Amino acid sequence: MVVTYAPTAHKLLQGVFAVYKPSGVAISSLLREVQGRLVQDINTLEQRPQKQMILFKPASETHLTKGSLLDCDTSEPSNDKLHHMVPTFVPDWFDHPLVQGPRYNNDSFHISAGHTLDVHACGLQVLGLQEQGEEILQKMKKLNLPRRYQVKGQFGLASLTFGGESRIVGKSTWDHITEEKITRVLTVLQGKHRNACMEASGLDLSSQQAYRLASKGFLRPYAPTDSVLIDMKLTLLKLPEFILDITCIRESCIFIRKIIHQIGLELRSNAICTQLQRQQDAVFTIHDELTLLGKNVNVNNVIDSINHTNNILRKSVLKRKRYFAKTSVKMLQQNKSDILFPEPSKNSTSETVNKAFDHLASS
Amino acid sequence: MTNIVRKLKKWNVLLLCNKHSQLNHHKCTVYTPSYKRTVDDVEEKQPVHKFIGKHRKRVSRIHVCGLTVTGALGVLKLPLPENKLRIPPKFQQNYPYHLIIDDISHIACGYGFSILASKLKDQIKVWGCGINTNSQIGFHKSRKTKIKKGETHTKSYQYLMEPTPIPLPFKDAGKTRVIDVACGRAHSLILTDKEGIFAMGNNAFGQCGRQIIEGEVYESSAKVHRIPHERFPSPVVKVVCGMDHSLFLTQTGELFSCGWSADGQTGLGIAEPVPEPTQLRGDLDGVKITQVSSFADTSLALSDTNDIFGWGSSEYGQLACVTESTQAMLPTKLPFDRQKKIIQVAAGGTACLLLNESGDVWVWGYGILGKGPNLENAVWPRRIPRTLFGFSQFKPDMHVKQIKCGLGSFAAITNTGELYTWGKNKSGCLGIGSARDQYFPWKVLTGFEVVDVSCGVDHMVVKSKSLL
Repeated sequence: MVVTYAPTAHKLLQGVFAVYKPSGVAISSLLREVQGRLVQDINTLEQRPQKQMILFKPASETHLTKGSLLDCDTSEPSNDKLHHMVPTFVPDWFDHPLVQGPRYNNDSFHISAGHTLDVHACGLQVLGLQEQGEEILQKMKKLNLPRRYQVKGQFGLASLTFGGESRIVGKSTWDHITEEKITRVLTVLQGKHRNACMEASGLDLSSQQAYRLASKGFLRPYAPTDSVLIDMKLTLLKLPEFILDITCIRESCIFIRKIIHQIGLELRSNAICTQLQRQQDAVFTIHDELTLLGKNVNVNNVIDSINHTNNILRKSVLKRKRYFAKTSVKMLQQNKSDILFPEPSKNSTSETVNKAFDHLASS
Repeated sequence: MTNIVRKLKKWNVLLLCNKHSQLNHHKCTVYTPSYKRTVDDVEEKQPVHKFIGKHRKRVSRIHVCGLTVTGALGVLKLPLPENKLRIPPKFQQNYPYHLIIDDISHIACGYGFSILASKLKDQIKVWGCGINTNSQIGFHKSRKTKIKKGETHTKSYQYLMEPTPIPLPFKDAGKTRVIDVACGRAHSLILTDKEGIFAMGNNAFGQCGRQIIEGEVYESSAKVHRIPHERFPSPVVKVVCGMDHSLFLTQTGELFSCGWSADGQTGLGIAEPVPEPTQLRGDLDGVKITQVSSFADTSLALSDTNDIFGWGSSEYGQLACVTESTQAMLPTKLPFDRQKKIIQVAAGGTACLLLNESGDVWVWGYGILGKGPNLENAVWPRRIPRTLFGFSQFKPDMHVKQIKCGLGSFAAITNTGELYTWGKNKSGCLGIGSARDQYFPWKVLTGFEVVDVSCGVDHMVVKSKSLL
């Protein structure tokens, strides 16, 4: 469906969609770019017609006869055309786009960003349009859904900010590293996070519910916690470079780069993160057609993208009743979704969990 | 850009970017180098450090956790620190502690003591620590007691707080190696490849394989009984100790037992203690046994035809599928539906474990079985979900490789070298970092790749390998 009428497009442009952020671009400039493109595009569509103004004109100046528009005074003599005023519609020249400027400008699109990426990181960035988008983003933030990153790194170098852009502080040998050693180090590093993940779920670990959720794999942190790793996998090793797939919750880009640095240290070498790309953020994936590149941001594409996310998010994830019901979990399992999230316990004793639960319940 | 900045600074020109000059600000965030660049800063001239070589060997380590007071952990400074004012004494070690001892290949945990053996052909092959009230760790002459006039009896240490070498009467120590170690309640067995089995400790029920002497004093006893391989039809490959009985598995799959039989632990059909190793009959007749396991009074054996045999105490329903009474005096085949090949069986104090080739762990018996607090008791085996051992959509290859049972605690090692424990956390023996009971498998953080584990009553010994 292609939208050609600007006011309907403006109404439809409310919600959440995903964009590919290139590296080297700050979030603020990305938001401005998306906003600018949308404004530019929507001003090319068919705009609303120029407003009309009502003017009272003498009847003689118009082609209208008495009794056609508004019957005012029947007592007046019928043939006095000179003094009889008739209301007519006249184009309102204040409302012309050449006078007022284009119909839409940056202020008509209130844009907000989901979990932001670093300047040097690239990949999926979830954006929200208008207030509805912002609300949905805030709800998604509370859900603590996992995100997947593809991290490219290099052994042998240590830098100040753990990445490739700052100055190199140390160098070491890397020819002793093999795939086996890396997998061993990764399993050990994940252990602490796995246990912390389960403990931060807020559930009493000696309860039957904790066992039930853990056996399904759904014991995840519910209350706000520190960054938690869910999985780390080595996908490619071509010494000294390597590619890792990292899945985590509530992380920041510096956290991931620091992990790369720690992996390097565990392997008795050094490592820097040369590229950090976010590949999945909850339901959004980078390989989806509806994740837009900067050049593809125009009104129709964004509307399609928002529609698509509405279908996924509203049905199974965001609505409180369905989110906590068992049926939604089954639906996701059938859809073979990558999202795994916990059910909260109403009898939990931790204060933060109860607060979070109440907050979600009221929203 | 930076060169221009330097030149302008030299000429004392106030340099502002477009934005700040328009806003009449005096400060700018234009990059200005505030330090002198030295040789170390230049990337090409930095030295390359070599922390580790290509052919470095992986080092094996021993970790211990549990009750420190008996000395079973082998660490003196935990319950008795040198400086009591600064470091308080620690009676429970809740998380694995690195025990500094080299070249250990076999570990065994008994009731309050542990024995560590090396594969080397040195004179000293075995170390022991813990309770020694029945001389289960051998005779170690005490230097503290004074011998009174007319007395010749020498005393041995009753508690060994650090791993001490155990003197064994080898004929030729340089030609034989230790193959296996096993510990029971108050006795221990050490299996060597050429010189047979050395049995030490309590023999009140004949569990050491020698005749019962009435009124024998086991404290400070230097008796080490040797059972040669020639006594059995083929060389013994594995020794297993129950609480007060011993089991010997030969190369050709025959099973021998001796010791206490009141609950049918020896599986010989009689209730009197058996002092000489005798072959087990019953359902085991003509069957080649590949694996045996026992910790308390119940024993399980696995044959090469994928059958499981059980005998001994069934107080807690471990053998309730074959017998309604509280013991099974003869080995009986357990009628489980076996679709896949079973790799390992493990019998604990109140419950039993089973491991099949796809890495699934099945549990039955009584106690904290590992399926949540609601499941206290199961007659037929119940499967523990794989996700509890780390299996997930991200790791579809994870499966369990080895299982072990303690009295109330259980341990499992996965193929990636991770250790998961569950059960009753007596004195922190699960090693999970706290003293709470664990109702489903929980990962133990050792920081290394775990290779072997042995569970005792209130302590656990873990053998691991360094990552690199």
